[in-house]
Amino acid sequence: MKTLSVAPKAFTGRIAAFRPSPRLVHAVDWAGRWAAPIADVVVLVAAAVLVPAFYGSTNLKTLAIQIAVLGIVATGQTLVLLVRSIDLSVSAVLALGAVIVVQTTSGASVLVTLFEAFAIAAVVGLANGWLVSKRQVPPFIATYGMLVFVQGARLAYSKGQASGTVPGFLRTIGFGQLGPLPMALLLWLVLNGIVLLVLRYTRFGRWIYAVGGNPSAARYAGIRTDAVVIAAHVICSVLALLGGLVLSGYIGYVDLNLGADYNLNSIAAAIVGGTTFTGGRGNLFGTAAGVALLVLLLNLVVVLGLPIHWQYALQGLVLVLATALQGFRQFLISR
Amino acid sequence: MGTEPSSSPQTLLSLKHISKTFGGIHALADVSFDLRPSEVHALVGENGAGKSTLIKIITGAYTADRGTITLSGVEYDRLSPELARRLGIGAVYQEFNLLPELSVAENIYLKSPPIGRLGLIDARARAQNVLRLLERLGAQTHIAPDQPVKYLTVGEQQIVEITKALATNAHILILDEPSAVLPSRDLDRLFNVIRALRAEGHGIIYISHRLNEIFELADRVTVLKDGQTITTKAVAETNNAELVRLMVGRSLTDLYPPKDNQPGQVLLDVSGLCVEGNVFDIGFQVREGEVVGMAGLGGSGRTTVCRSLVGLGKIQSGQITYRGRPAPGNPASAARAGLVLIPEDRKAFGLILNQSMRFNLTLPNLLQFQQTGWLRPGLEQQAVDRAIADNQIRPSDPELGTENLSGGNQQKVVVGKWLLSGPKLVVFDEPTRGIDVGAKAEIYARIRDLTLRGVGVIMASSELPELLGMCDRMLVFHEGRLTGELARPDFSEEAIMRLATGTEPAPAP
Amino acid sequence: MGITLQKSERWGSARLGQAVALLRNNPSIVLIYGIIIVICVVAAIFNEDFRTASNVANILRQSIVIGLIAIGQSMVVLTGGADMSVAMVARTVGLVVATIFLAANSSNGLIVPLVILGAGIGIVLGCFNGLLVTQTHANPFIITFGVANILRGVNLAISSTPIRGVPDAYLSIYDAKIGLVPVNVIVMALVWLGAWIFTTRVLAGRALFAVGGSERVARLTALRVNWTLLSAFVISATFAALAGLFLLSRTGVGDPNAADGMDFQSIVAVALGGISLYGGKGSLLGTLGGVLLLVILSNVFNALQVDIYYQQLLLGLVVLIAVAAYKSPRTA
Repeated sequence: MKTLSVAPKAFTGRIAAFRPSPRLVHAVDWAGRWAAPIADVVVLVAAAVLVPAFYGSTNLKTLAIQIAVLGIVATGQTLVLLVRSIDLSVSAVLALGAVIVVQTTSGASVLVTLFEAFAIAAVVGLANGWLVSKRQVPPFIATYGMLVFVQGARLAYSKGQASGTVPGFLRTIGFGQLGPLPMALLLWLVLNGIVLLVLRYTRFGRWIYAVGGNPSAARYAGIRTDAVVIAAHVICSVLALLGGLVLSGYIGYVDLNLGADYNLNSIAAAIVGGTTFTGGRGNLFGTAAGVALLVLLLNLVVVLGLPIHWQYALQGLVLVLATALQGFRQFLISR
Repeated sequence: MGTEPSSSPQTLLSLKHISKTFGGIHALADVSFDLRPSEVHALVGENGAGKSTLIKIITGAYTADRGTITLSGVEYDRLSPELARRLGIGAVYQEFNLLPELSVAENIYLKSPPIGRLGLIDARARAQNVLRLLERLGAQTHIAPDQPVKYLTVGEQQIVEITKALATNAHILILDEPSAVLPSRDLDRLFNVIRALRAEGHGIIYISHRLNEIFELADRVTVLKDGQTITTKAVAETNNAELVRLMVGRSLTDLYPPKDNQPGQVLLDVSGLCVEGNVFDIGFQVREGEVVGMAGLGGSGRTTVCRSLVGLGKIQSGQITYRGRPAPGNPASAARAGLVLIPEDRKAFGLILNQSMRFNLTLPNLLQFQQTGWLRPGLEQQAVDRAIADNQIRPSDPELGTENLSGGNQQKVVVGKWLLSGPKLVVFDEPTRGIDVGAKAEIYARIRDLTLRGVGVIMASSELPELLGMCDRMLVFHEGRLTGELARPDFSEEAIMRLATGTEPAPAP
Repeated sequence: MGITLQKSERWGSARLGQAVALLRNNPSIVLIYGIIIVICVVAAIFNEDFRTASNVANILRQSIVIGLIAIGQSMVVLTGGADMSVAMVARTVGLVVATIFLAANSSNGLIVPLVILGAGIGIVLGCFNGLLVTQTHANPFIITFGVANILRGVNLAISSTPIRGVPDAYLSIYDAKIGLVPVNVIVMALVWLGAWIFTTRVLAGRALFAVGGSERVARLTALRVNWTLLSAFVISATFAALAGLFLLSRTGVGDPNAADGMDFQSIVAVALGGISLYGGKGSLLGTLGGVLLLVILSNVFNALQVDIYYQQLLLGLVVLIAVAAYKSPRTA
């Protein structure tokens, strides 16, 4: 006769009564992973059918560059989401970079302004990471506060007026091409590749997944969880800055409202691509698919000649659906 | 045999022929139990004897496979939590269900507070109700109804939990190891509360490991072992030694690999260790190739000591010397020095559940596979395959997610990941909790393997059989102190239990 | 009565005891009102405009819109979530009502029905948010953020330019006075009182604290967790709708930029006032303090002619410092 060393899990009222069927769990999990790539294909096909101009060379270039910029920002956002955090200040950092670099027109050296910009982005990331890890501030609030602060700083600094032209080298990166491919796209692919390699083949990459998956177990295994979270935030802010530089290179001038939607869209892209809010789950391939989906959809709206409010509605809808799906998926998994 | 369970109208609760199986393992087999009014009925037994399962059946959380429950003369096959509550069954567990920010009165009357004029909560009536309840328990002088629960001591919070049960008109109260969370000075208050309840006619089921409490408080005692009722007796008709004998006393199985190597140098030397106000004056040594066991009941301080060895937990005084040097101050440097802790709760602290076995196995050891800054998959794969083979982890696909493994295999992954780093001293805290017999044997084999290679092992466990089977020496803890150290020739379940329950006084220092 | 009341007696009479207890448990309330008093005193000394009765009335009236939104937001934050769609809801309601007024030639008879419609829109949107959160277990911060964006699109679709056509009688809602005291301030005071009673003396309101404190315990006590969450979102959206209606009366036009930034401001007011962002504790008294502080600061900055961009910067800075200083008791 055998005995149990420990009693089975406790029963907590009616919740335990809900046992999702394995098929449902599997289906939702699969949907969470493949929703974005499948949707991408659907949109591409729909575009070919509805609006052939979608595949014209100018539009393709626009698409590629927009994917690159959102992709760079979303890569950073993915890292932060992986460690159970979030970064809502990306849009402000993105715009900040443009404002600072533009100072070259009034004679400041390119290197100095670049250095300033990256330094500020790093400080913002440090502050975000510190607030979230050492002070245990809910990430949403900490980074939203940072967003307001940085936006205010940027607007105060530029006195609400966009002035100055974008330096030449940025124009090249933002708008130039290397053979058939836009430089921006290449930059994104290279960056993505590097981050992918880091996530898979370095200790730091493992630490990110460990800290996001189970922070206590990570600490027991000797990982310095706070340092990892702070590092993720720094990388995210720096990447956001980079994205802003490329974007302003592409546009060619400094726009006050630059990048306002990159907050929402970088998060939506990552979530649609299978990254979760609860941490430790997600990868850059999924994020890339999510980025493509958002850019394709928004571009389709423009090409179809639909008014701009469709864009907002669509962005919001994608985020809502993606979040709802992920939330449900996490709920089922935890049963 | 003891007294037969009665179903007279006098009896509050009567369980007959209760059986419960979980996946082929009998948690309870033909158990009978009854509770009379104005009685404190103690329930004792080792871990795994079936106490928790029995309680869950009474409170309706589980349904028995066979048997009946009779409450005040009415028979039921099964209870649900709501039904049990309505029929007057209340329980207080070790994990409280209180909202710390809300007041005592609000917690007690959370669901249906008294409603006054205008449909608003009548706070005054609520406070007065609470005071009246507290009066019945004799606790009104030190708990104020409007105080937020977070400001109460653990003992006071426990009384609030008991009051909650009273508020729902429970006349059967189950207390699950109430003294495990209390410092000794609060025990008297708890006992007074229980006596007051008994005087009112309630029936109390009191689960505890601490036999002296039972002799102080209880009227009858029921001993469970291996899912069966061994006996039910009036407390006056038995004694500590007899209870201990009834609780244990089974033959050892052949689970444990034989050992015969000689211990080597001293790896760890602990003296005068006091930690976190829980643990006092602990001193012992561990040598190479030795297995030192830590026995004791819940809350006796073993886990605290284990954690302190790797730098978790505040050491107030004393010394720990590891390989001739002061002990490392945090888990990371401890691991690097070869001193490793395998924690009690593998899911919370041992594994990243949503990752693969390979991920988990290599996590603390990544430096081994790193060349020029990058991790080499080849090196990693070799080490992982070896670890899976050495630890007999099944299924053997390294990419499988750890959340899909059985408890036994999960534990093997935790053990495997720490053993990969080639430690010199391994501390196991409950190494085989919640694991099937086959996996247990494999883990024991692994431990034996370690000792043959000169690694020192500390094994803290609540399971006497495995301690008796695996250890060379045994340290017995009771309420934060060492009550005894036994050498292998002196091993016996009774001896350990006596030391663990404080039946035998601690030897003079 | 024969019941000993030792500890309560130490605190004096029951009411006073409760008040002292409230303050002792919520040091942030003391802090925020302290700061308000200091700022008011300093401002009053140095700026004579600040001291006038009309300025005080102004401050109180300005606090109505953000106050309504903050009350609703408090309910959701108490449950441990947040509603980031409040600003857009206010804006939507304002635009919809203005559009209908315009289409109906600013008919006075429509005022009452349209107010009811506005509130109705709030209720519907609140149900939508609540159902999303409870049925999918999604993160409320993010999902209401997404809903806000959808509404942003809807709002732009309704109009990107101000909509005129609000009848004068409607405008008078904002201006109504009894002597020197605006009627609205009195009504708002009653609303605050009612909300406070809800969160302290009504079971449904206390359920918010239970759900926010520990969903597990709330479920075990058989409290209706899903209902409670749903009602929190409904209250939040409805109050946002009322805010939008009131804003319409103030500006007189359907404004496509109405309530800009009030989602964040409401969170700031709630957080500064001591309601924990993890839920389960806090008091509306604190939120009132947060609202007043925000409005007074804005008033002072305007009087000092501080650049609007610097105001934003300072707001962000204040929030960052406040959240950094107040370390939540819960450890990760």
